[in-house]
Amino acid sequence: MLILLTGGSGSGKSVYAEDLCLQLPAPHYYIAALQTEGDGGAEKIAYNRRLHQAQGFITIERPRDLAGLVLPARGTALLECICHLTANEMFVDGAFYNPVDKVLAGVAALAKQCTHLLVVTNDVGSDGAYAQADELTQAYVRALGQINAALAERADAVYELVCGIPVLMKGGAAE
Amino acid sequence: MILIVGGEAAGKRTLAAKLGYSAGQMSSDLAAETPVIFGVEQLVADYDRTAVDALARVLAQKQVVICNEVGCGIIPMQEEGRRFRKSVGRLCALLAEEADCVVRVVCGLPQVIKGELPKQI
Repeated sequence: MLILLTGGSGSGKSVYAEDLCLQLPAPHYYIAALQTEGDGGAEKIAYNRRLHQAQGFITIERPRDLAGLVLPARGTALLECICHLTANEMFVDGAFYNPVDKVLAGVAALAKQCTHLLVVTNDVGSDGAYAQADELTQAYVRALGQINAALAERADAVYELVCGIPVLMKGGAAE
Repeated sequence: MILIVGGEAAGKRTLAAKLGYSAGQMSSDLAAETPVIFGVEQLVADYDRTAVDALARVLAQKQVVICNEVGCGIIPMQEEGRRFRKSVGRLCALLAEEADCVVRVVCGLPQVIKGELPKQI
C-alpha cells in the first residue's frame, strides 16, 4: 500500500507520518534522503537518527538511487522526503539531470518490498516567487510537481497535512 | 477559539465577517484586545520554540485567530526563511490543537478541517 503525505513546512507531516508508520507492520524503516552537506544537514541527520532509533525505526540513509535499495525484510517504510530525493537526483556534482523517472522508479521499487510505504513530499509550486526563480529552480519545481502528481495517481491514499490535521485527498485510512 | 488559515487574500477576514464580527472587532495588534486577531504570522518574530509556544498560549485566548499559510512554495535558501516557515507552521499546529474549529479558506471557500462552525454560512 502506498500512502502519500503532503503539506507545507511545519505542517506536521513528519510527526504524522512517523506515528502512522509505527502503527503499521514492523520492521519500520526510516529512509532518509537528506544529504549531510551544508545547511546544518549533519546535525539534522544526527538528531533524526537518535530520534528514530528511540522510536524503533531502522534508519537507512539514501540520498539517491532508491531503485538500488534492498530492504533486509518486508515491513513498513517511511521515505522522507521526495523534495530532497528529487534535488539529489537532479543536481549531481555540478551536473543537471531530469529526476522524474529515477524518483518514480525508485519509489516503485521500494513499494514492492514493503507491506506499506509512506512517502512524504511538499508542495513547492504554490509560490509567488516562482516566476522570479532561476531556470534550474523552476525546472526543479516543475519536476517535483510532476512527481507528486504521478505518486498521487499511484497512491492508495493521499493526505495533505494542514496545521497538523490530516486532510484526506484520496482513498482511505491505512488501517 | 476558531482558527482560520489560508493564503494571502484568500477570504479569511470575509469569513470572520460572515461569522458576525465587525471590522472594528478585528485587529492585527495583540494589544488592541479585539475578539478577532489576524495576520498572526507577523507576530512570529522569535523563532525559538519556547517563544512560539508562549505566543500560541496567548492567541488561544482569542475568539478567532487568522493566520496566513506560509509553508508552501519554494523552500527558502536562507536559514532565516526556513525557520520562519517552520515556526508559523508550529504556531498553527499548536493553535489547531486548542481550537474548537479549524477552517482553511481556499478561493474564499471555507473548508472545515476540525470541529464545526458555530453557525451556518
